[in-house]
Amino acid sequence: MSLESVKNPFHIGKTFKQIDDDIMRPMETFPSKTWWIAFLIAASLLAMFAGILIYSFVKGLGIFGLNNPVGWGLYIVNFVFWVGIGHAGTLISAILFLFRQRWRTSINRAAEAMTIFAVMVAAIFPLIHVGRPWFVFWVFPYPNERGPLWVNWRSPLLWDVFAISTYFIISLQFWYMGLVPDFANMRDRQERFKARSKIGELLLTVKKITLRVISLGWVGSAKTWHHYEKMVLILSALATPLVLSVHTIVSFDFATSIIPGWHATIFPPYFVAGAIYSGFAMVLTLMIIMRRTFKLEDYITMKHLENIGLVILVTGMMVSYAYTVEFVIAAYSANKVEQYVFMNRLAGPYAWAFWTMFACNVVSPHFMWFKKLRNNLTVLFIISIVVNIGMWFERFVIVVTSLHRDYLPSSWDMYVPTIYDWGMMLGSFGVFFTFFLLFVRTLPVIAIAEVKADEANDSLHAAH
Amino acid sequence: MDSFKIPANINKILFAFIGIGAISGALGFLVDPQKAWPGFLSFGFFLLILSLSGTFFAALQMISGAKWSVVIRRVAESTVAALPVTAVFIILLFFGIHSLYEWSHADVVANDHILHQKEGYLNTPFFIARVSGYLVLWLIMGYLLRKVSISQDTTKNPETRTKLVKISAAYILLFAYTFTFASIDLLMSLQPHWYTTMFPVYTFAGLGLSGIATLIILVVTIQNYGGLKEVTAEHMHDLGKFLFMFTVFWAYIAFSQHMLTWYANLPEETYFIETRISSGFWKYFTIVLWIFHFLIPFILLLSRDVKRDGKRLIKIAWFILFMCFVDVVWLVFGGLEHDGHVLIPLMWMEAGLFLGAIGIFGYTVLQAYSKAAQIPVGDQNLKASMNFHQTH
Repeated sequence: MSLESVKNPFHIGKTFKQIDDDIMRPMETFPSKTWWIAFLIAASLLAMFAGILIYSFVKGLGIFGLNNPVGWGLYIVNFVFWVGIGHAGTLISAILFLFRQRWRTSINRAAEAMTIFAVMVAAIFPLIHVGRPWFVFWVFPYPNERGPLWVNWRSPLLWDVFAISTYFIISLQFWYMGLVPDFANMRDRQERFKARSKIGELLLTVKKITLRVISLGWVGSAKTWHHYEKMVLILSALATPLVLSVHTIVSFDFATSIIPGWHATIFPPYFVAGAIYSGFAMVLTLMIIMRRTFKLEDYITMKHLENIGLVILVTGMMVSYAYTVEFVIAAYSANKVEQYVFMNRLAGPYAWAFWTMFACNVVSPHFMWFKKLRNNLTVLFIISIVVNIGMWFERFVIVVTSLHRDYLPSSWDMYVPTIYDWGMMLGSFGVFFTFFLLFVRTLPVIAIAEVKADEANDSLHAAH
Repeated sequence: MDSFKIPANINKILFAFIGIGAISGALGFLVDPQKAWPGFLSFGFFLLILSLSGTFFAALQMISGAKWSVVIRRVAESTVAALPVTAVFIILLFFGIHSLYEWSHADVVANDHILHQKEGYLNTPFFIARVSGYLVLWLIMGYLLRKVSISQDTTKNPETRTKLVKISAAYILLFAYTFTFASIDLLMSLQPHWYTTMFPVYTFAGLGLSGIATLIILVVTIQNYGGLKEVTAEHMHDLGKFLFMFTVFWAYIAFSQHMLTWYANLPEETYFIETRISSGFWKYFTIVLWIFHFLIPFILLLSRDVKRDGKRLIKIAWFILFMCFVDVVWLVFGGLEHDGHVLIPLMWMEAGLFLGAIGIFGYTVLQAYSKAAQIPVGDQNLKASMNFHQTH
C-alpha cells in the first residue's frame, strides 16, 4: 500500500528533510518585515507596561482606579484572564495525549509556549498587587528571622502561589523535555552554517555549544526513545491534575469568601471550563496567524482548527451551563442578597459588561455547530477573538459587579479603570507577544520529532 | 452476529434480587413508613441514574468520535430499557411527596418565610409536572438513540453515524439541564432551605461513576456467559481508566463543594454538611463514605494490571456501584429529621432495595440487550474498535 492510501486526516506525507526545512525555516532566515513590525509594536507595549509599573512604584497604587469597595480591579481581572489562557498548553500536551488525540502533535509546542508566557504575564499582577513586591519572597514558607511571621496557610492566595508555581515548573519541564529531540536536531543541523565574519564565528560557536548542552546528549537510539516515551506518559499523568488544579485554586480565591457573587461552590469546575475555553480561543488566534505567516498550512490543517473550534463549542456550553446554574440557584435560594447580585449583573450599572460577556461567551460559540463555519478561517478567527473578549469580561463581571455594591449602600461606589489600568492591560499583551515573537524565531514552533514519529507510524501501518 | 442468550441461572438470580427488594420494601413500609419513603426515594434515584448513565455514555462516545468504544456501545444503549420501570417507581414516589418534602405541607409553608417565597417553584402540581416532563424527554431521547443505532445493523448505512452524532449532541445538551433540575427537585429540595450551585454537578459525578461501574459489570458478566467476545483487555483498560477518572472527578467535586461550604461557613449553607458530620451515626457514615467511595477505589485502580483484568475490575466495579448507592442514601437521609431527631436509615431495607434495583436493572437491560445484535455490526468504525490497542 502506498502512503497516499492512508486515510489518516492528519497524515502529512512529506519527507523528513522537507519537514525539517519547513518548520526550521523561520529560525534559519532573517526575520521578515511583518515580524519586525509586530515585534516593534509588542516591544513598545512592553516598554509602556514597564513604564507604568515604575510610575506606580513612584506614585503608589493610587494611580489605578481601585477604591474602597472595589479593592480588586483590573489587576485581578488580568491575572485570572492570563492564568486562564495558560491552561490550554499543558491541557493539549498532557490531557489530549492521554485521550490519544493525535491532532495535538502539530499544535502542542506553540500552545505550551503560550502557556508558559501567559503564566509569566499572569504572575506579574499579584506581584504588583501585594503592594511591596520587593518583599514578595515572604510568600514562601522557609525558616526565617522575622520572628513569628509565617505564611497564612488558611489563605487561598497562598495556595495560589503553590498551585501556579508548581504548574509553571511542570509546564516548563514538559516543554523543555519535548524540545530535547528537536534541540538535538538543531545541533546536528548546525554543520551546514558557515560564518562570514569573526563575530559570526563566535556567535555560531556559542550557539553550537549551547545546543550541545541543552540537547542533553540526545542520540535518538531506540532505547532513548523508549525512555522518552515512558517519561512523556508519566509526566502527562502528573500534569493532568495540575492543569485542573490551577484554575480550581484561582476560583477558591473568590469562592472561599462570603461575598455574594463570589461564593458559589460551582466555581472550581466552572473556572476550569472557562480557562480551557479562553485558552483554546487564544491557541486558535495564534495558530491561524502562525500557519499563515510561516506557511505551515500542511502541518496545522483546517482539520486542526476545526477540532479547536469544537473544543470551543463544548467548553463554551459548559461555561453557559455554569452561568445558568448560578442564576437558577440564586433564584431558587430565596436569598435576597444573592438574588440582588445577579439582578444587578443583568440590569445594574455594569449591565453592559454582563451583556458583552453574554454575547461573546454564550452566543458566539454556537456558530461552531456548523461544519461550514468551522472550516471558514475568517469566522474562526473572529470567534477566537470574540471569545477572549468575552472571557476577559467574565472576570470583570465577577470581580467588579460583586464588589461595587457593598452591604451598606453608603459604601457603594463605582469602579472606573484609569488610563493606567488600561495601559497595564494593553501592556500585558505586549509582554506576552514579545516573548511569543521571540519564541517563534528561536525555537521550532512545531514538535518536529513528534510529527516525524507519527509520520513513521503511518508508513508502518500502511506497509501492513 | 448472534444475539446474546440470557442464561437461565442469571435470570434466577435477578428474580431473586427483585424478590428480596420487593419484600424488604414492603416490610419497610409496614415497619416504619417515615423511614421507608426516603429509602424508596434512594432506590428510585439510584435506579434513575443507572438507567440514564448508559445513554449518556453512548452519546458522549458518539460526539467525541471515539472508536475504541464501539464494541461496547450496544450495552450502553441498552440501559435505557430500565427507564420505563424506573419511571413507574418515580411516579409511585409522587404518593410520598407529603412524607418526603417539607414544602408540600401548606401549614409549614405558611409559617416559613423562605418556603413561602419558594412556593411558586416548590409546589406539588408543578413538581409532578416537572419530574414527569424530564422522564418523558429522557425516554424519548434514549429510545430514539437506541432505535437509530440498531437500525444501522441491517442498513449498514454510514450516514446513520452522522444522524447519531446529531441526536447525541442534542441529548447531552438537554440531559445537562434536565438532570440539573431533576437533582434540585428530587434531592436538593429535601432540605428546602438549603442550596448550593455545585449540587447538580455532584449528582452528575455520581451518575458518571455508577454508569461506568455498571457498564463494566454488564460487559464482564456478558463475557462470562459467552457473549461479547470482541471486548479485549484493551477495552477493559480504557473502561478502567474511565472508572478511575470518575472516581477522582467525584472526589474533586465533593471536596470542592464541602470545602467551600465549610470555609465560608454561611449558616444557610453549612447545615447540609453540619447535619452529616456532627452527630454520632452520620459522622461515621460520612467518614466511611469518603474513604470507601474515593480513597480505596483510587488506590486499587492505580494498578494497570487490575484495569486490564475484567475479573478483578468487576469486583472493584461492584464495590463502587454499592458505594454510589450509599452516596445516594447519604444525600437523601443525611439531612432528614423527624420530631427533632435525625433520621437513621433502616439499613436492611436499603440493602434489600439495592439488590432489588440491581435485579430490576439487570433483568430489563439484559432482556433488551438480547433482542438485538451484541455489537453495532453496521458501524463503519467497528473494525477499528475490534482491532483497538492501547498506544501507551
